[in-house]
Amino acid sequence: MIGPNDPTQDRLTQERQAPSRPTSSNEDARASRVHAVLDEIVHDPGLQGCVVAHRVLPAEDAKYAPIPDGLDPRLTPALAERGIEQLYTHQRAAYDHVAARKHTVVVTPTASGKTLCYNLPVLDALLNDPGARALYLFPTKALSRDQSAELTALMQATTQKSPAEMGVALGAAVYDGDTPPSERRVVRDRAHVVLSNPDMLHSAILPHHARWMRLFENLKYVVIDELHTYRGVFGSHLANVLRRLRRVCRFHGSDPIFICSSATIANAKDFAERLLELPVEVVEENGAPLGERHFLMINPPITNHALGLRASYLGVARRVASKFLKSMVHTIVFCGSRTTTEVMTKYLKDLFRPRVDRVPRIVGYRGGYLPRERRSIETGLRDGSILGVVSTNALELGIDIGALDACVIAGYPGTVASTRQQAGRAGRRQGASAGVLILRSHPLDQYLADHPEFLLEASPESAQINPDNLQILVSHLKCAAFELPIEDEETFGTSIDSHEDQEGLLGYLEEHGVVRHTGGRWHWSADSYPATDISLRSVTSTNFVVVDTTKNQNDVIAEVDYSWAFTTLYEGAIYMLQSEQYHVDKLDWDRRKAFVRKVESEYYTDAMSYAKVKVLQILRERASARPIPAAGAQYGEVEVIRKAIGYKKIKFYTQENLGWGDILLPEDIYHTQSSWITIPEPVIEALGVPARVPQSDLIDALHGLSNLLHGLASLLLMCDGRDMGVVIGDQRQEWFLQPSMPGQPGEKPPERFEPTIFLYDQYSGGIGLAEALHPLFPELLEGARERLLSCACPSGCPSCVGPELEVGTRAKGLALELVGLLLAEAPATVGSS
Amino acid sequence: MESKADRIRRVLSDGAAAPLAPAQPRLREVSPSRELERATIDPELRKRLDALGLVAATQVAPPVRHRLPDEEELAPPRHGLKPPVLDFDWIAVPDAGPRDDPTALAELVGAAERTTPHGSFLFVERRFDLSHTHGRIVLRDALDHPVSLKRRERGPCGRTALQAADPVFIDTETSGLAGGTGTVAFLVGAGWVEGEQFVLRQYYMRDYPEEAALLHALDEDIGDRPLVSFNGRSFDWPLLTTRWQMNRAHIGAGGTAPRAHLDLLPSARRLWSSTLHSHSLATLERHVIGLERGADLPGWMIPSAWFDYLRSGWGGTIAHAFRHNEIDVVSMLALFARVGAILEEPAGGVEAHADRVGTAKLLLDLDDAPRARACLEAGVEHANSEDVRPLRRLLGHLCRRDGEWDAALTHWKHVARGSAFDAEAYEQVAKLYEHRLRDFAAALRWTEAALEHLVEGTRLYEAFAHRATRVRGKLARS
Repeated sequence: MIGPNDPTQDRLTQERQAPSRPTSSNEDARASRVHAVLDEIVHDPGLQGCVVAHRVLPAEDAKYAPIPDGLDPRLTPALAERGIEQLYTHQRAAYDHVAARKHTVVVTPTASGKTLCYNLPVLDALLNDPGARALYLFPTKALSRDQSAELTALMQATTQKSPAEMGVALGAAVYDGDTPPSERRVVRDRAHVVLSNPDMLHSAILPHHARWMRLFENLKYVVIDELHTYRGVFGSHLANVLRRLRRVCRFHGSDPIFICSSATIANAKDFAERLLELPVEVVEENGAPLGERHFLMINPPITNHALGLRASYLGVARRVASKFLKSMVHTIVFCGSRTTTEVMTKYLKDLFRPRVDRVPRIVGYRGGYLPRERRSIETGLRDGSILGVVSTNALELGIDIGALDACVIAGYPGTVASTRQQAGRAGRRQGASAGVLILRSHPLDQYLADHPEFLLEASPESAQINPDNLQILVSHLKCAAFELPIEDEETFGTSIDSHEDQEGLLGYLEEHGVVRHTGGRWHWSADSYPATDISLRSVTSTNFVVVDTTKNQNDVIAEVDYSWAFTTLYEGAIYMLQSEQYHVDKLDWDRRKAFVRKVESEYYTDAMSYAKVKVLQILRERASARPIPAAGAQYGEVEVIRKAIGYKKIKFYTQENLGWGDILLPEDIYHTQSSWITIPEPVIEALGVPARVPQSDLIDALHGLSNLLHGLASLLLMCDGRDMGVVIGDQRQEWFLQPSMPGQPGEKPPERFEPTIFLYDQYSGGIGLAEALHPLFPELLEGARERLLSCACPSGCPSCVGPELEVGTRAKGLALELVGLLLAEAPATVGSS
Repeated sequence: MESKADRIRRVLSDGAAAPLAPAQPRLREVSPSRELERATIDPELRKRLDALGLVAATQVAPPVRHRLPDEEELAPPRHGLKPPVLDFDWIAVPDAGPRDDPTALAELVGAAERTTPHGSFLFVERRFDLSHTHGRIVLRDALDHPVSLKRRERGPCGRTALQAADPVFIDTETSGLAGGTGTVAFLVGAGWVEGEQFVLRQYYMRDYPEEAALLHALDEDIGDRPLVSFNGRSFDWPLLTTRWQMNRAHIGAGGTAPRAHLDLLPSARRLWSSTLHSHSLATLERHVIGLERGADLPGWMIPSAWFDYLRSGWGGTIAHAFRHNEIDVVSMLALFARVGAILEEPAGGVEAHADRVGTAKLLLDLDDAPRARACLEAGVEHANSEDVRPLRRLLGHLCRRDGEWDAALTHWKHVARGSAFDAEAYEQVAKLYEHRLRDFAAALRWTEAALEHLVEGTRLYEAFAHRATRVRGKLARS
């Protein structure tokens, strides 16, 4: 079910958990505005037949449990002051597990008062033992600030409401990069609860754990909020940071209980146990009330039947968002990329442009904005002065942005969990709310249009991590040795294949002069601080700053991380910020600075890049139980070389291509894991290359097939499409298909070659997707055949192999033949091709 | 004929010797002959690790801390002083020596093994007669004047000043400059005055397992005595505290007791704030103590020199760190003498390039306003006009704070009469006339004069314009 995840109501201070409070007329008015707009959408002639699903989830009543008898008496009045006379069932269940010293994961929607699930047991324990300490970890700095304010208020309430002699002044403090040096010492020694993030724990706290002795000697609880965000590389890193945390705790003689909260994911227990490497209790039943929730899926109308082209999803998203905004419904619009976010912000602002009086505020929000600006947007959303916000998935997390009534999602975000998180941004405990998903022409989105139940009923994705990824493991082994010498008999983590492996890794590090084995321990033995070389979130940690040179001010207006710089900050790019356009005049690659100038541009830019892979080592040769009869599928470690080559200038609104430009940037090189399928020469011959099928048609077919396989792979693995890359090359990795710039035809493949489609993890080191995909190749090919047969288009559309203009007229038919040959059956035929 | 080893021993015990040609320290390629417990590495694993290029990122970073070129260390010459000829020399450790011989380093540096309940480590003790001269300083000079402590330096007993005979002078050589629990202090130098001698002890660990013994002995020797260091409040002492904490399971809490701690670096930054561009100990030695170190192992090479020793057991390079450390500790005593002398007699001819404004500010940090004023006033009397503006500026503030309006006015007027327009001086003069002396006509005159120098529309202009309006009102009413 799609749950309403209004974050404000997660905040104790925002709304009282009073049972059956009468609905105010204000609530009625908001609900009726939402109903009116939904009615308008359903009856919009322009969207006739486009609403492929409309699900209404009825309001749900609250389920309560009494406040535990043993709770510290100072907490009861503090809770009562917040209107809490009893707990929701899940809050009580979490309290009981923690009281029984069990590691606990609370999996409920964001609107459910999840914060209290950990604040209650932690404060209870701290009041009983003021020497005790707790560490809270949040994925972002903004969330720690949010939570610190709330926790402090609750702590103060416990002090005020108790007689002076009982009063314990508990303190909570944020420790992150923004904490002034003068305050750090106080936080280290005095704060009962330290709120921080995994990056800070990794780079500043653990490597200096002796200074944090007071915390680590007395650490009773570790709270990890938004656990579901730690999937992939970030999660694999976090699992290792937690291994290090537990080593340091053992050294200082503490053994903390972990309390985690998570949005709904399929494998909460497994995931948490993999991440923590501890047995956990899971609390899943939500006791909080929910208002009536509508969820619509809209497939844009077909505008060109011959080509299978649909109206732009962005256009439809704009149309739907406008309806909400014009009716003064507080709305959030999610876009898939930074560029579309900015383009959409401009469109929606333009909507109100002719009006000069009382223009409703519409803003953009994404990573790269400066913290000050983000704070002011968050405040504007909470106090209602901002009517609409257009965001990337940056607002998917539980940042407190207040009660929104509608959510428009432009394009399937790639995962069921993300869709639910985003839709949940609209929805409150009372009154109606609406979430509208606008589908794109991608195979994945179109699959959902055919099968809305997949999204509505399927369980959300499993979160995957691989803490023993070699690169990540070795990085953290270095940090661990820095923090405390590693004893011979010690095992770092629980899942290292064998002890000899660990010894081998440390031995390798010793050979390179990083550690020293002596007296039965491995000592850190280098003049460096290993944590600074390792970023938990991406390969490189150096951000680019964007400097506005308009009027010679030289203001830093944004920060862009390394991988984004490739596709957004090249010279000639139009960089968009709050829908203002800036021309990138100069990119100083070495100093990580882009100099931009404000312009009024009629176009935006879109970068084109290509990737090549080089196989470093084959780790697995054949796909498990069900081999693919006529193809080789392999899995191994590869080097990916990515390069941006040029960009297109695209006119606003018409999407017309106005021209091209070159991008002169160095290559981005990283190591990762890939699974690939090679089409052997006999199959190519059987297809009739080159006599019946010219090589260029074969390449079109491969291009189409790779589009399809990529989309289906992310569905099969239940991962975000952007987590995986795809590239077509020859088996010997001498030639790769590249996008070509006009006038510069791409390099031709050798006359005879064995085409290979590489699917790889788009993260340095890999996160286990390619590995998981390898045994699934037979299912992948069969899924491709099914999609090709069921797609109604005559010769290729964005919903299967891609639009005819991109892949040519024969791609669909040839792709089907190819898949048939690979599965070693008689080639199927497509009637019309 | 004297053998090389004898000569070294003699030099070590004498503390003075005929100059040797300074040897350029250099790190040598050495075979990893001392690696003890080697692990076996699966060839497949090695291949994967090689392909991932995992360790490349951790290779020792190139040196980041370069010494400033000599000419940049000294501000444009204004005192006409040249660094005096050095009168201190030390041994140049021979660029060769026995390998794989644990006694080699001990011989080179004159060390012996010291045993504790937690094992043993390498230990050096040298005694300097207090008549010994270090640069231009006779060590005994340090006993002449106490050095006052700033509030945060006073420790739990609230000591307000240190006599040279009280504290332990301490300096560490570490396995890295980044700090954190993975950095160890492999060599600690600690010195103190004992009767007519300055005792210098060095504690050296030949490998990681000797750390507990080293820390135990150091704690035993220094007890809870106060400390003098150079940058030790932020680097050496927190690092040692961390080491004691890391080893407390074996040796107890150790030297973590809070105590008075004078850090000479911030004082030196004040005293020579404008006269020296760098405040490294080597620069202060050259210009304040009058000592030229000659060939020395640069600080950034010291960690790799120790790692090199760990792998090879060859003492030739790391011996330089002993010398480096020893000079550091003795220089601290000499610097203590200089700082004490300057603070004691700030009004006298301030020696050794000390900056009068900086000296006065340091005295203010030490809550000694009378001496701060005396220092500045003496400077005003002795120097030429352009030099004294910063002095008078600070004097203006101090006089006003002491309620001496006329004196403050004199100083600020002098500053205002300087060649360049000085808005603060005009403002101070106008304020004094308006609020203290209640001479509104004069206040208006100075305010209007300032406005002539300012550009309309700037914030400063607006402030003066506002003042002018207010003063005109007061003038009309009076």
